[in-house]
Amino acid sequence: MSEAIIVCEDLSKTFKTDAEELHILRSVDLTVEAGSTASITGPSGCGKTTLLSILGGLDSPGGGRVRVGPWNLHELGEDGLSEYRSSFVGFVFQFHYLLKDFTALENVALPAYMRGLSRAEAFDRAAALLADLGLGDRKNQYPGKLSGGERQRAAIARALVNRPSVILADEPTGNLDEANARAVEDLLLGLAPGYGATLVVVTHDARFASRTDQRFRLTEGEIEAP
Amino acid sequence: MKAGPVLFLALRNILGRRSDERDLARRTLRGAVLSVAVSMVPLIVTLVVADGMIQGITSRYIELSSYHIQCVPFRGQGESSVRDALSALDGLPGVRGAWAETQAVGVAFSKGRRGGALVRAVDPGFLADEGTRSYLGILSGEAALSGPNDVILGSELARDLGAEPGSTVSLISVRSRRGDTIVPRVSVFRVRGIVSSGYRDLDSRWFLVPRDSSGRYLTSDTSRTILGVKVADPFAPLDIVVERIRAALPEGWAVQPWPQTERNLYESFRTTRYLLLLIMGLTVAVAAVNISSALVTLVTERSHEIAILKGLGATPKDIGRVFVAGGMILGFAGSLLGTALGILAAVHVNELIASLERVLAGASALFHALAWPFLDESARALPAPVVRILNPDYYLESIPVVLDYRALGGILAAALFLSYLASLLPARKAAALSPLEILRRR
Amino acid sequence: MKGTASWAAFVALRYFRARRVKGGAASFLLAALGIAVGTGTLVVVLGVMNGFQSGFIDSILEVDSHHVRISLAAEDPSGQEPGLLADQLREDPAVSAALPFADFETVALGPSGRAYPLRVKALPEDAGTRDPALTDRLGLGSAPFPGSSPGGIVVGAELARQLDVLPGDEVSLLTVRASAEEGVEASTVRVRVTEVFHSGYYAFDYGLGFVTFETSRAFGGPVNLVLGVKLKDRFGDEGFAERLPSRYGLPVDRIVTWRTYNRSFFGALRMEKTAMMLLVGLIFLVVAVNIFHSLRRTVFEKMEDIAVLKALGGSARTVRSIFVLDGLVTGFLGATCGLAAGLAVTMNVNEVFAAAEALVNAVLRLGSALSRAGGSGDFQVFSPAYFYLVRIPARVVFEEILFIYGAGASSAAAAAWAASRRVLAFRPAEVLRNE
Repeated sequence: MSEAIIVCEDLSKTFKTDAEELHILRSVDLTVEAGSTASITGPSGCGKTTLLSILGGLDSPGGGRVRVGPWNLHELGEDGLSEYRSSFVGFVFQFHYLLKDFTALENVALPAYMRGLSRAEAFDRAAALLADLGLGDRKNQYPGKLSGGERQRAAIARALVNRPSVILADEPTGNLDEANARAVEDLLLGLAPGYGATLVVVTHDARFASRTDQRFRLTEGEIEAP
Repeated sequence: MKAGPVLFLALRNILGRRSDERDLARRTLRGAVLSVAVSMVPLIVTLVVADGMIQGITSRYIELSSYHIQCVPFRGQGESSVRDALSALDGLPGVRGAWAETQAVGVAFSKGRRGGALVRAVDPGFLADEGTRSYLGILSGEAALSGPNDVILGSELARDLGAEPGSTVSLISVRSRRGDTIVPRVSVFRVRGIVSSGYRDLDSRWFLVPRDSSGRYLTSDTSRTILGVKVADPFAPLDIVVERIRAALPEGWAVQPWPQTERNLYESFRTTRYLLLLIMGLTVAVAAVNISSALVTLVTERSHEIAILKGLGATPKDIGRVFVAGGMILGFAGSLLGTALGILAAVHVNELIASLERVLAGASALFHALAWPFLDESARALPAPVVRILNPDYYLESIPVVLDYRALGGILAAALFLSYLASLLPARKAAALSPLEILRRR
Repeated sequence: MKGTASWAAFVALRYFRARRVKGGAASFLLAALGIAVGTGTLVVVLGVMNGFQSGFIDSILEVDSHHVRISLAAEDPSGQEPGLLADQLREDPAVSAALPFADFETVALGPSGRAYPLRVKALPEDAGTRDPALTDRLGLGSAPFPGSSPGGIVVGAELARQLDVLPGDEVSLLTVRASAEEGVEASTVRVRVTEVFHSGYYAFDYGLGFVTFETSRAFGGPVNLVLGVKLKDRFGDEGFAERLPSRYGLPVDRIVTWRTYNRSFFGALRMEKTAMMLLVGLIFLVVAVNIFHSLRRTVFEKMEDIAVLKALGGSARTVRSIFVLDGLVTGFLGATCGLAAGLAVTMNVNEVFAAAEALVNAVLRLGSALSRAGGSGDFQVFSPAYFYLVRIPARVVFEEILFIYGAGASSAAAAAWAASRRVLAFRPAEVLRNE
């Protein structure tokens, strides 16, 4: 076995509402190995998305320790987290969240451009990725003109453009029909060998989960023993 | 829809408080009202302060110098006809007082110093008049002319001459005789008092002497004699009194109310005032734009309600009127608030200026203290600079507060009209919303 | 980080274009227009105020106060001895002119016998060549000033009008001699008007006259002789005055600089300008409120985009700068247009006023024609009947323009800065939740 790229120890997260405190994550211990694919499943509201958001640096851990590669997320401030997001992870949402005022190409190029690549480099890299993912002739379309599957593939391309070490995908097939869902599934599972990235996917889809190397199940804020 | 429901909807549905917490439109509305209020402040302050200055200066001119109504002889009139005219004015209804005054120029001389003098030979009754007394500031001595050689000096002339009450001052006046010879004449006076009108342009050269003995040194060809009339209220229409005086006077007199006498002064003030108000009004016009954009936000945020209202049978015209009413309510609230703030600032303009002066003086003293170690000897010898914002040499030292209700009303009406214009575009936008499309979207 | 600014600009440009397509440009244009109105108004108002004020200031400095005044206790009114000091001072590299003069308060009588107060300035015969700026100000061109003809006087145009005299006519001046032994003795002296000047400053044109020292002998003493020094740089007055005592052996209390001499008048002028700047400047506050609200709306609408940009690794500060850029563009566009329009109006203020007056008069005439009432339609803003001016003066001061431009542009940017505060406040996960 190779080394661990994601390590969570006693990770917890609490949300406060007016009425009560919600303990979304109680004590999560999780280890994902580098270069592998992993899935997290569990019933609705079990905290899968929150866990993934924390791993992606979109939210801060409430307690415990989270390490992704060299990054100790529980120690990072706002600036550190954005540095981490831009250089180490790629995130795929259930809803594509492409910016509607930008073409597919611009959407994909943006993270590279933001990271400091020249505009030409960023756009070249984005065009190559879109071609790889079969969207070469659709790259100048605005998201509104793309089909659901095309949008999700563009979103995946955007997650890959900075050559992240870790890809996090939150229900990436949740909004897609069967055929598109399979295509996206194949695409994501091929990433580890193809781009050398580790994949962590949150999914409802048991078949998708069964195809990953490591499988975790989250219930009531804790990882069940596999 | 009638006006009642339109107003109700405007107040309740459009401008009213919402149940949801993050109500952006309401904050935008508050911003629009506030900016209209802010924009009104310069306008109102300018109006009130300009009117105060104008009335303060005008009052000083007409109470102390040019009278409410002047009667000017067509040609030089003898002393007897002046007496006749005065007795004709005596007891005329509406006339509070009438006095003769003779004016000339001369050079005043004292202890080797001299200054140009505007000689005003006046009636003691003029000095005793309550209007005169209320505006004539006595700096030293007293404002009375009892002896034939008494003189009252304006403050600047007194300073030029180094004169004090009790000092002796010579006046060199000119008499010209028929046959072209000009004869200067030296007369000696004793200073009874030094006065100031509070406005330098007016009083700087005054040399006030008693008229009954002035014939010795002022002759009719180098001086002019007028009759000055004061009425109960100089700012009320003067036509009737002027007509009455015209009828009462013998031939050979022209009768001028003060707006005619001081026409240059008055017109230049008026033009300046209008220009200033016009410039300040631009800010209000820009603030009206805020109403427009706040209402546009409102149309977007309340599109659901608008759709429902339309579903309930409101016509596009009704919806438009609801928004116009809303815009005008905003404009009215802002203008009212701004007018109140502006009047408050204007009423306290003296205190505001005083505290601003203190702040500036404090800042300059602080600067002086900080700079002290770095100043060389000659700079240290200089006194700390005195900061005065309203320098009494050029402005009234204290500004009377005058509220011109008609102008205030006009400004409010103009602001309302501007907000009406500003709400037309959002109203049209609201009227054009398609209810089906919006309800389907939800 | 390299390229952060450029991607923020890229995104801002895209939003800008998208907004224009959607027709939301109105609020942007109105905000820019507001800034433009504020900038333009301030430029014109201050330009015209500067025009009036610098007219006053230049007249006072060139004609009467000079830059540095040195009081001389000379008994001889011929100006021989002070001439020596004047010659020395003229050699000073900082000095452009040095002129001895003396003021007399007197009364002038015209042929009609009416008397007017007059201040007479006595000067050397060749004052015009020694101080060309003075004759320029008086509009006298290259004529010798005050001229060597004995018994001649140069008076202001307004006084000449009041006295009803033309060059060649005679006026009588009151002269006074006073001594401790004989008391005050007055007489009149006849002088001939050689020239009429027009400085544009009413107080001078109405109450000032110039004679030679020779002519002024007839006025008698005592004479307070003053040496008026003009400098090449009028703001070098303080330094120059400090050097005077050591270099020329002049006592400090005899030296007055123009800023001290005219302090109260110039202070009043500055106060007027500051007050106008403050009051008109509130327009920027009003526009800033507008920009603040419209941008906060934009931020609110773009919350999801902001979250995505942050999720993709954009730092909060850079994402915020997208919106600040929007404000900056609004501010600079508005301020630039306002500046251009304001400068155009300021440079052609007389034509603009004339056009406005023509328009008002046309409306007035139309109105009177419709109502069949008598209306002359002779509206004029600065009517020469009430204002002593031929043309409306205007003068653009670069530093002021720069300040106004900066204030206009930065008020929009500051509003944008405040409106985009929310961008910092949230984590992407708060917005990007699955349905």
